[in-house]
Amino acid sequence: MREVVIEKKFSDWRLKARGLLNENIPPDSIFWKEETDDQSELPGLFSNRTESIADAQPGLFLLGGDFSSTPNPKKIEHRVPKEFLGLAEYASSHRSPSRWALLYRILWRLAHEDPHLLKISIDPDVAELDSLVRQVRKDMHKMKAFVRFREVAEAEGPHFIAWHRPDHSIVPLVAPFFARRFAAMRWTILTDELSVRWDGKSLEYLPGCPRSEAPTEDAIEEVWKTYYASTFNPARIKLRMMKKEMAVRYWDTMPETAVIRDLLRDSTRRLDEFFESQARSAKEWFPKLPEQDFTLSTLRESAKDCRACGICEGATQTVFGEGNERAKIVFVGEQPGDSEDRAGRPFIGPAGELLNEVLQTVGIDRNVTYVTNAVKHFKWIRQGKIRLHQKPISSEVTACQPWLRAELELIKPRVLVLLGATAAQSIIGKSVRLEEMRGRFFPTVHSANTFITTHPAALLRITDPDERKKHEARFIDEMAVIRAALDSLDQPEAEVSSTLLER
Amino acid sequence: MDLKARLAILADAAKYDASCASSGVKRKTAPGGIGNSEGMGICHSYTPDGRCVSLLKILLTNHCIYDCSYCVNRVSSAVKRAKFTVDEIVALTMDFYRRNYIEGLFLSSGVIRSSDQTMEEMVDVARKLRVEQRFGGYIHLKAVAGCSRELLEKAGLYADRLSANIELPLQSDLDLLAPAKKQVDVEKSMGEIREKILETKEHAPRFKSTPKFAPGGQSTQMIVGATASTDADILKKASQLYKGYSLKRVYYSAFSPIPHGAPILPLKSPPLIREHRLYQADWLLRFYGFKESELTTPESGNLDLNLDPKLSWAIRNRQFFPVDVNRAPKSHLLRIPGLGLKSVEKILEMRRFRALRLEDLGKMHVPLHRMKYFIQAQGGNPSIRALDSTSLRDLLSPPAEQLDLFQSATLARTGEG
Repeated sequence: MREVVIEKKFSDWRLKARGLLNENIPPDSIFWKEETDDQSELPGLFSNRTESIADAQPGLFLLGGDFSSTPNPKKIEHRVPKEFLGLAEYASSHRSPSRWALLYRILWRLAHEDPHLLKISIDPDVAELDSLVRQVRKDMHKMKAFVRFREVAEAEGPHFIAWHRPDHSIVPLVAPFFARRFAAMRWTILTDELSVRWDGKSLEYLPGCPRSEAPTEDAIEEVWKTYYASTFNPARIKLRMMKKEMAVRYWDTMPETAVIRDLLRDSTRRLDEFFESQARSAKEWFPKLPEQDFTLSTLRESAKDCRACGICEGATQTVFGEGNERAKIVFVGEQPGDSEDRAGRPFIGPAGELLNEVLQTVGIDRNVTYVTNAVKHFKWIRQGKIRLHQKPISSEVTACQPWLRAELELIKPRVLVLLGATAAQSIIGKSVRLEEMRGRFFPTVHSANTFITTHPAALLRITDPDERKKHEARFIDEMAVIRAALDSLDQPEAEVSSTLLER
Repeated sequence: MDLKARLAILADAAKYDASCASSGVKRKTAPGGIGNSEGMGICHSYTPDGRCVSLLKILLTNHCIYDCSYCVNRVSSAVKRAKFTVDEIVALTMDFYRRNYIEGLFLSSGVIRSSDQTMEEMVDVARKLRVEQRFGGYIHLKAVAGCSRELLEKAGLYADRLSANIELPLQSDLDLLAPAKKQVDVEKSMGEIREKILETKEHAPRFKSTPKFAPGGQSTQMIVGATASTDADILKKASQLYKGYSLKRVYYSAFSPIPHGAPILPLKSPPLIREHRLYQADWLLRFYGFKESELTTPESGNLDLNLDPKLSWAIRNRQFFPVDVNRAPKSHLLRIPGLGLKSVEKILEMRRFRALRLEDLGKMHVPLHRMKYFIQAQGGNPSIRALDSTSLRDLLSPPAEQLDLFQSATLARTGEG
C-alpha cells in the first residue's frame, strides 16, 4: 500500500496520478491522503498569479488529454478522453474525501480496461463521478444565483461585499464569472474557506473569514423585500417547489427570505380579500332558464331585481330597453335620467325627445328601432331640489353589461348606434375617445354595422346657442348617414359597411 | 406616493405574466459597464408560489385604457394606480443588479394615451440602460399591442427578448373577454419582430457591425381556463405560433383569481395541473417530435389530468410498442413514456458498446415502473405481457389522493402541494 498525499488541488492530483499511472500502480494499492493544514498555503497559492477571468478549460494543465507526458522516460502512452479532465476537475472540488481515489480508479480503468468507460453511465464508478460533478455544478450555479452583495462606502468608492456559504470548494471556479459580470465594480466574496476580491482588474484570493466580518446591512434591501413580497401570488402556493430550488440552508444570507413567513401567514387573508373584491355581475340575476329560452320579456322581468352594482340603491326602478323586438336598428345610451327613472321607460325625457325629433327629421321610423342603455339604473347626486345625473364608473358599466349583451344577442340588429362614450366603452371594451371613433361604420361582435355618435343629452348641456346649433347639425348629419345605411340594407345583397367605408 | 409603494403596485400588477426566462443570449460586459448574459439563465430567488425570480418584472404604469376582463389592470378595475418614471426604473434595475438580485429587467405596461407613446417610454428605459449605464444584463420588453413597426425595431436593438401576448387561443375568446383586442394585431407584431430577426441574422455574417436584434427571440403567453376553450385549441394555436413566427416559447398561465376580478370570469381557477400538462405537451411538440393532433382526442379535446400526455398517448397507441431500447431509432425512443431527452442520449451512447438489459435501465435515473410496459431489452421483459391488458391504464394511474394535492383549493391555502 502506498500513501499519496494530495494538496487538495486538482493540479496536484493530476501530477501525482500521472506518475502513478506510468509506474503502473493499480488503484487498490494506493491510499490517498488529503493534506489537512492547507489554510496557510491558500493565499500564497494564488496571490502571485494574475488569474484569468475566463472559466478554467478542461485540460488547462494537460493539453490534449495525453497522460503520458515528459517526466517518465519509459514513455508509456496513456491517452484518456479529454472529457475526463473536465469532469475530474469539477469532481476534485467536491468535499467528498473519497474523490481522489475514485478519480484514479476511473483513470486506471480508462487506460487499462475500456477507453469508452465514461459513456457507460450505469457503471457504478461513472455514476458516482456524474453525481459528484452534478453536485459541484449545482453548487456553482447556486453561488451565482444566491450571492447577495451589500454596498459599503469607502474612500476609493463603493465596495460590494458578500458572504456566502458554498457546499464545496468552488470559489476559484465561480470567481471568474463574477469578475466578468461585475467588471466595473469593486467587489469581494467572503466564505469560510476562501475569499476572493476583484479590484476591477484582477482577482485576488484571500483566506476565508467568518460571517461576523461581513457587512450587516444595505438600505436597498427594504426595496428588494418590497419587490419580492409583491411579486408573490398568494393564489398559488408551492412551498415544496420553493424549498427544493432554494434550500433553506442558503436563506440566512438572502435578505428577501426574511419576509417569507409573513407572506405565508398573510396569504389566506389576501385570498379572502380577492374573493370579496370580485366585482359582481348582472349574470347572477339572469332568468333561471336555459339560454336558448331567453326572451326580452323574461330578461326584463328578471332585471327588475338586479343588484349587481350599487346604483340600484338610489334608483326608483330598473329601466330596461324597449321597442321593436325585431328592430333593424338599436340605439344604446348611457343610463336612464330623472324622468326615465320615475316612469320606468328609456328615452322619454328631454334627451329622448331630442332623439325622436332628429329621427323624425332624417326619416327613421321609430317603429323599426329599439332603445336601451348601457346601465339600467339612474345614478345621481342631489343638488338643491334636483337629482343631478352622475356618470357611472367603469365597474358599474361592466356589472350591467350582461343585460345589454343579452338584448343585442336576441335582437341581432343590422345597425347598432352607440350614443356617447359610456355605451361605446361597454361594447368595444376599451375607454373610447369619441372624436376619434365617431361618424363611421365598423364591425363589432354585436353588429356588422356599429356606429358611434354623441349622446343627445350632451347636446342639451351645451349652453352657447351657436355651438349647440353646430353640434346638433353634425348629429343630424350623422343620423342621415345612418338612415342612408338602413335604406341600402333594404336593397338585397348590399353590404352597408363596405359601401359606406369606401366613401 | 413613494417609490416603495409604487413598486408594490407595479410589481403586483406585472406578476401575472409567467415569462421569466433569461437564457439563450450571449452578451459580453460592455467596456466600463456591468452586466452580461452567458447563455444560461439564473434564477436568483424563489417565492412561496414556487416561481422563480430572475428578472425585475414590473410595469411602467398600470393605468390602462383597455377593459380586458382577465387583466387586473383593466380600466374598470378598482385597483390603485401608479406610474414610474423612466429614470426610476433605470436606477432600480441597476441597484438590484449590482447586488446580484436579478439577471435583468422585464418591462411591460398598461396602455396610456396610445400604444406608441407607451412603447416609446419603454424603449427609452432600455436605451438608457444600454447606452447611458452600459448595462449588459438581460432585458425583456413587452411589445405593446398595436404599437408601430418603427418602435418595435428600436426596441429590438436594446432588448434581448420581445414578446406580444396572444392571451387567448381563439378570437371568439377575445371577443368575449377583451373585445378591443384582435389576434391579427398581435400576430402582426409577431410577424414584424420575426422579419427583423431574420433580416439581422442574414446580415450578421456579412457585416460585423450589424447590431443584434432581440437575440433572445420572442415569446408569448396564453391564459388557461378563463374561457371554455380546450387544450386542443390551445395547443393548435401554440403550434401555429411556433411555426408561423419562430417563437422561442409559449407560456401557459392558469387563470388565477385577481383582486377586483371581472364578473365575466369564472370564480374558480383551473387546476394548476392543467397548466403543467400543457407545458408537458408543449415540450413534446418542440423536442419529442409529436404533432399537436396526436396529443388530444376528438372526444375530449383536453389533456388527461391524471396521466402525463406522453403516457396517455402511449396507452392510446399500444400498437407502437414495445420499443426495443437496443435497436429502435432515436425518434422511437423519444416516444417511450418516462424517458427524457438526456436519458435517450445516454441510451444511444451506451448501446454502442453493450446490449442493455432491463436491470441496466433500472440503474439510470428513469421511472422504470412506468416504462417497463412499453420496452423490450436484452434478455427479455416479462412486463410487456401487460401491454395489451385492459387494466394497463389503472396500473399506470397515480393513486387518487395524489391528484387532490393539485386540485384542492384548501390545500393551496395551507401551503402545500
